[in-house]
Amino acid sequence: MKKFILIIAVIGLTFGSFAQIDRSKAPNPQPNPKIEINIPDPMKFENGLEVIMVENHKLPVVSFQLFIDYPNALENDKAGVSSIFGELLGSGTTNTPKDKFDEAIDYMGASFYPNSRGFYASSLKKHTPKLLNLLNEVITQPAFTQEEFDRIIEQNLSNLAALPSDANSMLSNVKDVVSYGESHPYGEIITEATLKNIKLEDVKNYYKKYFTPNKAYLVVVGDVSADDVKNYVEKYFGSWQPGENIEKSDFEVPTTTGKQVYFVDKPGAVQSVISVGHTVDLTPGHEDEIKLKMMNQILGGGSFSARLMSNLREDKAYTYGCYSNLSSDQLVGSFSAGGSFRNEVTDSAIVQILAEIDRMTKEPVSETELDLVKKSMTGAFARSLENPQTIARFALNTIRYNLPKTYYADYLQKLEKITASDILMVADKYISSNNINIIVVGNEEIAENLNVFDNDGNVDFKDYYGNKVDRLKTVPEGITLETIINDYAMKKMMVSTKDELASKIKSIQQIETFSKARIEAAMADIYVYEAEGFPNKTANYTLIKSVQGYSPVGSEWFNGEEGEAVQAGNKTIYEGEELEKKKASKFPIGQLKYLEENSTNAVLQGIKTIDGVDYYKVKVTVENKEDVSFEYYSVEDKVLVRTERIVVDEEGNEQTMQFVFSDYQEIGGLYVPKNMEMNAQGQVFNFVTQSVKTNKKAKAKAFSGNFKVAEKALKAL
Amino acid sequence: MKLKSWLLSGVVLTTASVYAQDRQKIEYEEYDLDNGIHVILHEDHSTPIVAVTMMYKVGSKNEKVGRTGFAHFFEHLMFEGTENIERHEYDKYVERAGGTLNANTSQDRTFYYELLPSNQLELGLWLESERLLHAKVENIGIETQREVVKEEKRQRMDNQPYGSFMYEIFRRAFKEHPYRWVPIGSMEDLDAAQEEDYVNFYRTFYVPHNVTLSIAGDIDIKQAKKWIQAYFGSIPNGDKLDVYRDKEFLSYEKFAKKYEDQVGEQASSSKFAQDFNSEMSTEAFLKKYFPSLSTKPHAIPRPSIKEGLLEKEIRDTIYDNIQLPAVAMAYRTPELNHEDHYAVDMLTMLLSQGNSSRLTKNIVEKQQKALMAISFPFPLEDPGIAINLAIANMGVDPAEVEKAINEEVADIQKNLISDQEMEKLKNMIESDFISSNSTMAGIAETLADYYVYQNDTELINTEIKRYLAVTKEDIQRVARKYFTEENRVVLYYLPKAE
Repeated sequence: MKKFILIIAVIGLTFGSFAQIDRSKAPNPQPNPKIEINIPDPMKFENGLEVIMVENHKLPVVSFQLFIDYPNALENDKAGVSSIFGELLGSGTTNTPKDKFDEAIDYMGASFYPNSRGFYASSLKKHTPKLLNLLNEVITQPAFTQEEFDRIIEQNLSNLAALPSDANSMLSNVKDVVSYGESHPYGEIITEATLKNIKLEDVKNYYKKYFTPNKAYLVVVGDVSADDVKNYVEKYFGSWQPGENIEKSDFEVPTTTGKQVYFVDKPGAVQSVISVGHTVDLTPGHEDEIKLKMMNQILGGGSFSARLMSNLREDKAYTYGCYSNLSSDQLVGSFSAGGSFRNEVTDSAIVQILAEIDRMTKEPVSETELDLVKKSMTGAFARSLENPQTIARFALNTIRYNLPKTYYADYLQKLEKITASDILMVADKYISSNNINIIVVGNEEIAENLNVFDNDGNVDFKDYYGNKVDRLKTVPEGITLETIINDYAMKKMMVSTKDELASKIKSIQQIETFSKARIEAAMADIYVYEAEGFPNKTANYTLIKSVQGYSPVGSEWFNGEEGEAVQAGNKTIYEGEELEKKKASKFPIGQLKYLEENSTNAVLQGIKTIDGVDYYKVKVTVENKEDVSFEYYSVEDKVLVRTERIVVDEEGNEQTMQFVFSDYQEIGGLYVPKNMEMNAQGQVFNFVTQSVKTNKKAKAKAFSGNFKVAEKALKAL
Repeated sequence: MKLKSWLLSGVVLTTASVYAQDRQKIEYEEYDLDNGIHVILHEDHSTPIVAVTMMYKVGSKNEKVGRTGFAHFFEHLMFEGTENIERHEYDKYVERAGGTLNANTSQDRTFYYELLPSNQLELGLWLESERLLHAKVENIGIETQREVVKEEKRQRMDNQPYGSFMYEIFRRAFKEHPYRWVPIGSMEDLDAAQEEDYVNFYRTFYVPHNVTLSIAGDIDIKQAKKWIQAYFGSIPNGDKLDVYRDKEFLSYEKFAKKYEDQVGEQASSSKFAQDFNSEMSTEAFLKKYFPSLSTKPHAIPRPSIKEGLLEKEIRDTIYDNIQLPAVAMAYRTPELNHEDHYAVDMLTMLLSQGNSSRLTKNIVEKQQKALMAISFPFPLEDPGIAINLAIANMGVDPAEVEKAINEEVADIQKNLISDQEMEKLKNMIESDFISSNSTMAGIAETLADYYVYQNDTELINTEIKRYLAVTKEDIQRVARKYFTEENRVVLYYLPKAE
C-alpha cells in the first residue's frame, strides 16, 4: 500500500504540474452551490412594535436596529429638525447624562448610532442587557437638554460652513432642489437660516409626535434566541407607549422637460463632479424594479464592464469611475449617472453619459451582456448573504413594503427570466436622456462649454444651497476698466469729457463729506468726516455720540508724503507698502490709481446682474496680500454702488465687509450717494450723507492730522 | 512592590485567556510551495463563497525617485490581461462567474482579490496564477491607465478638501526613506514612466517568493491544495521565470539576440526559430533549449534606509480650497513589529475612539473648538507615524485647537490614566477583536497581513494578548517618548484666498 502511494506521488511530481492543467482556457466551475434564504416572520408586540430576528451564532455579538417608519413631512423653515432630533437622541437620558452615557457605551466596547428614525446599537453578547438598559432610557426618557441642543446646532452650523469645500455635498444639495423641488421633503435644504429657526421645543415636539412604537421595527441580529428576544422586548421596549397615528401626505415633484444644465461654481476645482438624472415613478417591489436594477447594472453598475465604466474609464480614460444609480422609493424614485472628471473633458463626459443612456433606451442589450449581468447579479446576491444583516434587511423590506413573502426567495428566478426586450422596455419607459437635469459642480472656467447641452442654451447657475445665482455677462466692446473708472470720476465731478474733468480738478481740489449713522441698539449716533485732496491727500475722522456724550473712535490722515492711522487708541504710522499705497491714491476718486502701475491690481471681470440691474464687476487685489475686494459700477448710471471686501488677518481668518452706496444725487455741486450701508460681519450701519463741501485748494488741516475743525463741524450736524 | 506587579500580571493573563475563549479560534493551514509562494488556507462553510487573495510585498516604498506612484500604477495594469487572457477580459471572467474583484496598493504591499462563489475557486486560482506568471501589458493599456490613475489622484487628493494632508505630512516627516512620498505619486512621475520600467518592475517584484496566496471560504482544503500545486506550483522562479516570460513576450529576433550566448549555435538554426514560433509550449521550449536554467529566486531589493525619530519640530501652512482651518500633527512612531506599536495604538484609542475619548469629549464636545478631532496610528513595515488631526469649528483659531490637543497629550504624559479608563480601552480591544474577521475577504486579508508584515500568521488569534499586556505606564511612556514637540510635523490648513 505504502509503495503504491509513493508511485503515485512520483508520477505526480514528474507529470504533475504542467500536464494536469491547460492554462490557455479558464477552468470549468464545480456544480453550483445552493443558495438558501429563510426570511423570518416578524413578531408583533402590544404597543405596535414589530420585531425581526435573525439568529447567527458565528460571533458572540448582538445588534439592535430600531427603525420608525413614520411618513415624511415638510419641515419648511425649520428644515433639519428631524436630523437635529436624531443627533440629540444620542445626548444622554434623564437618568444617564451624556458624559456617563458615552462612558457606559465605550466601557462595553459597544457602538450606538442614533438617527432621526431610531438607532443602530451593537455589543458583545455578554453586555447585551446593559446595552438594552441604556436603549430603553434613550427611547423613554431622552434628556434633550438646552446645552446639548445648542452644542449640536453650533456644530451643524460649522458643518454648513464647510459645505463649499466639498463638491459632492454641494452637488447633492442642488440635485435635491432641482429634482424634487422645494415643496417636497426630499427637496428641502438645511441652511444657516433654517437651523437657527429650530428650537429645543421643536425637537421635543418631534419626539412626542413621531417617536412612537405605532409603526416601529426592531431588528435584532446575532447570537440570540427567540426566547431571549421576546424577554428583551417585553422588558426593555414594553413600556414604550404608543402615540397618535400619523397620516401620510402626498407630494408633487417637478417634471423635467428637456435638458436643463445647472452649474455650481467651486473655485479651484480640478475636476467637475457631474450628475445627470431625473426622478422615477417607481415604488419598492414594483414588478419592473428587478428589470430596472438589471438595466442599471448594465448601464453603470459597480463593475468594470458596465457600459459607463468601460466607455468613460477603460476606453476614454476620462475618469477614475463613472456609475449610474436607480432607486425605488415610496414617495418618488430616482435615476442618476455621473462621476468626477478632469476639467478639460467635462463636456465630452456629458456627451458620452447621455449617449449611453440614449443607447440604453433605443437598442436591446446583447445576449453576452445580459448573460454576464445575470451571473454577476446572482453572485452579488449570494455574496450579500454572508452578512446576516442582509437577511434582516430583506425581512424588514418585506413587511415595510408589503412584498410577497417569497419576494427574495424568488429573486434569482425572476432575474433569470429577464430578456433583452424587457430591459429595453423598462429603459424606454423609465429613463430618458432628453428630459434630464445635468448638474455640474466645478471650476467656472468650464461653465461656458456647457451651454450647448441646455435646451434654452443657457446654463443655470446655482449656489450650493440650490439657489439661483446670477452670472457675469460679457462686457460689450469698447468698455474697459479705464472707461469705467474715468466715467465714474467724471460722473462724480459732474462733467462729461476728460478735458472738462481736467479743468474741473483745477477749480476743485478738495472734497469734504459729512455723514451720520444711527445705531438703535446702542442708542448712539456715528459721525464721519471724510476729506480728499489733490493730488493724493486723504483724511477721515469718526466720532460716536452716545448718552455719555461724544467720543472719538478713530482717524486717519495722509498729507501726500506721510500720515498715520489711529484706531482704538493705537497709532500706526504709515510706512513701507502701506505708505506706497497711500501715495498712489488719486483725486477725485481713489480708484484712478487702478489705471497706473502700482501695487494695486484691478481686473474687470464682467457684468453681473443683481435684482435685474446690470453692474460692471471689478476685482481688486493688492500685491503680497490676501485681501480682495469686488466693486460694482452701475452700467446705466456709471457710479460705484457696491463694494465687497474680504480682509484676511495674519492668522488667515477672513473678515467680510460690504458697502452699498445708493440714492446718488447732487450734493454740494458733486454727484454723490446720499446713503451708504455698511455691513461688517453681519453688523449693519446706515450712513446718511449730511453735507458735502468743496474747495479750490487742498488745504484742510485734517490732511495733517488736525481734526479740530472737522470735529466741530460734525458736532454741529 | 514586586509581588504586587506579579499579581497584576497574573490578573492580566487570566483576563486574556477569558477573552481568547470568547471567540472561536480561526483555524488555517499554511505552507510554502517549492518556488517560494506562501500559501494560507482557511476553511469555513457558512456561506458558499470564497475569497482568493494575493499579497505582493511591493508598494510605494519600493519605488525609485522619479517614478513615484509606479507600484499603484502597475497594479492598474495588472488587470489588462495575460498571455492567455485578452485585454478587458480579466474582470469579465470574474463577473461571469458571479464574482467581484479589485486591488489596492499601500506603501508596503499590493493586494489583489477575487470574491467568488465557492464552486469557482479554480477560476480564481487560474486568474491569479496567470497574473503572476505572465501578465501582459500593451501600450494602449498603459496610456489609458496612466490617465485613469491621474483622475484617481485628482478625485481622491487634489479635488478633496484637506485631501493632500497625507502627502503633505509624509513629505515632511521623512527625509530619506521612500515613505516621504505617498502611493498615488506625482503627476510628473506618472507621466515619466517608460516601458522598461514595467518590465523591470514585474521582473523584480512579481515573483513567487514575494507573494502570499491567502484563501478563505467554503473550500475543501485537500482539493484546494491540488489546484494550488497545479496552477502555482508550476510557475518557475529565478532565471527560468525570466526566460519563460521573455519567450512569451519578446519577438523572435529580440529573444534570439538576447539569449544567443546561452543557446549557442542552435540560436541561429532554423529549427530554433521554427520551435519558437510553433505551438510548442513555453515549458517544452525551455526544456529543449534551456535545460539547465536556475530556478533560484533572485534577491529582491528593499529600502535599507533607517530614519530615527525627528529631532526638531517641522511647522508649515498649507492653503487649500477649504472653509474651516484644520490642524494636523504627525509624530514619528516605530515600525509595526516594534514592541511599542501596541501602546501607541492604544494611546490613539485613548485620544479618539468613542464619544468618551479625550479629544472628542473635551475638544469637540466640552470646549467646542473642533468640528472633529481624531487620532490614529499609521503603522508601516518600517517606522511610521501617528496623527492627531482636527478641523476647527467656525470662527475658532486653529492655534487654539492645536493648544487644546497639546494639552490633552500633555495630560497623558503627566498623569497616569485611571484603571477605569485602562479597562475601557481593553474592553474596546476585546470587542474589536471579537467582532472583526466576520467576512471571508477580511479573514483572508488579515491572515496575509500578519504573515507578510510580522511573519506570524497566528497573530490572528493571539495579537489581542499583546494589546492586553500593555500597561497604563506603557501608554504614558510612549506618549512621552513619541508624542513630543521635537518629533513632530505640525501642519495648518488654511483657506485659500480666491
